[in-house]
Amino acid sequence: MRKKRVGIGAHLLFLGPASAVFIIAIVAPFVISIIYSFTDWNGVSNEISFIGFKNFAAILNGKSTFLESFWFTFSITFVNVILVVVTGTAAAVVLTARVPLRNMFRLALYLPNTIGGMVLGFVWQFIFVAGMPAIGEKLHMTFMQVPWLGQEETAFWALVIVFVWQNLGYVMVIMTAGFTSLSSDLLESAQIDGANGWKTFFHIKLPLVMPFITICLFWTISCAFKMFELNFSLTKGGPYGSTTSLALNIYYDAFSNNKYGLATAQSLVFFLIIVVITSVQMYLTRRKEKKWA
Amino acid sequence: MGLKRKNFKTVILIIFLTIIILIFLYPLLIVFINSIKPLGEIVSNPLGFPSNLQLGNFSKAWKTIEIPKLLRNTTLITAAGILGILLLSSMAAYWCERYPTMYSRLFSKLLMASMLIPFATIMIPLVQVTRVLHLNNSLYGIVIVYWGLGLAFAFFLLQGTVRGIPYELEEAAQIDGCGPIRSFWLVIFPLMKTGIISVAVMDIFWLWNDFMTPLILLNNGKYDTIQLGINKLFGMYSSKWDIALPALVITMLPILVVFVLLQKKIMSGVVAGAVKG
Repeated sequence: MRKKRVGIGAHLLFLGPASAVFIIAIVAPFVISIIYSFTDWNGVSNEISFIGFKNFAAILNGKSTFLESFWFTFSITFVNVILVVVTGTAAAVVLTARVPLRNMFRLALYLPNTIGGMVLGFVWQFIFVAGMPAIGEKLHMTFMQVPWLGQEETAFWALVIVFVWQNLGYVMVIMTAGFTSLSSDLLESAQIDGANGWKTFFHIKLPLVMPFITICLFWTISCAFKMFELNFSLTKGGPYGSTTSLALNIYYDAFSNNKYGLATAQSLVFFLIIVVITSVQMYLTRRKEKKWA
Repeated sequence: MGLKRKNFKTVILIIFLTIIILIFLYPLLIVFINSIKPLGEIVSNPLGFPSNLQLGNFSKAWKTIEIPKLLRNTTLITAAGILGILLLSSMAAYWCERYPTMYSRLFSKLLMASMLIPFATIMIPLVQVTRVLHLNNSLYGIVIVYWGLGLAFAFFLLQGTVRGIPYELEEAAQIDGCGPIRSFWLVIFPLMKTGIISVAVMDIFWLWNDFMTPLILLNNGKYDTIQLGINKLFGMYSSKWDIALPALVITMLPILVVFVLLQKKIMSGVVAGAVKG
């Protein structure tokens, strides 16, 4: 790197505006969030008192709704991740074969990912309220004719269906990139050695695309953990709060329940959970890179 | 014989895949079909085809939720948001890469760390910060917030692009008498095209579809975006499907058109964003 002389004005011009918007949108709110998490502010009144770690204690000992929403978010993330990664990878496998029209099929599978969560949620509200019961009646399947969004059990699965439907296309695109990056020499030599389709898939292709699977896995985990729009539009977190995700719980506590301090504390715990997930991801990716190097 | 069998298998596969895709897209198809039916028919027979076209649904929906207003606001926010993000992030990425200082190193480390922060963690105080700065309840206010929120992703994608640009080009420009501003604008910026397109393509969908940011920052009905408008509509007319469904169709169409037009760029942008990020 050569030394260059530039005036302070140029530094200000190139980094000043970027720094300003970064501070306004992220740094300042984050710092304020930390401060408020130690208070009992309700968001409106002029009285604020510092209460130490009481908000965090309320989160951990179950005196707030945090643990319930955490449990819901954790279980739906678990189910979502498995289903999205498996269906997305399967779609990628089928559509890397030389099928005519495969680009159109790919587009169709990716399409839901381009529509916003809110609009999608309401599309599916119509399906669950009117479409599913009608289909159930036609096919004589009584399990379809339930109030999908009105019972705890089915509301959970309704959200799973919509999430998988929305996101499997993304996994398919990433995994397609993974499978097409494999060298054809290697696959040919496996065939010559007598490996059949299933064997090449499980013993050669799958291990080689592991880095791509890791990307998909963690993308889906963080996506599912931050779920908000689908719950907001489909169930509003109900019935009886059973489908309130962490993000939705924070939103309700801050803006409807006037528990401003508690909500900021929850949002920080939420942040720490995301940090842990990402650290695990980075650890796994690095370890694998070392193994292969 | 072998060829024939292969053809037969391909045909079966295509039929099978077409059926799967039709089932997959059925929820959208059903909404499109029902959007042109009279309310009674939607309720009594949601799976059937319309007996007569009820295009009046669309004009009713158009007026009820003031679709021109929603489209205008969303388009303005998306366009201004993307332009600002691209300008600020490309300048910052260029500067941090070519004129590193202690501050620029700290800045890019903080940006990197900030990518971990979920929106839910900052949304509560963001309302207060924007209120103090008079950025709440205004289109330019939410646009400025988007510049900040979108900076980090764009910065790191574009930093990679700057790294790939040979240093000699810039040096030649400097010998010809270009200062840093002119060599950025005339030499570097045009060469960042691929990265800039990737960022733009990803951000169109983010900004157009984002719901949480407008939800907390725009409380004045005047500035409703599509996502906010749809949410209000379902709050007020939840069983008036003859208004709700055409509204959904109208609001989905623009982004679907963009998707079909930009499909190749989108797919490669998704991969670039995922593999680098």
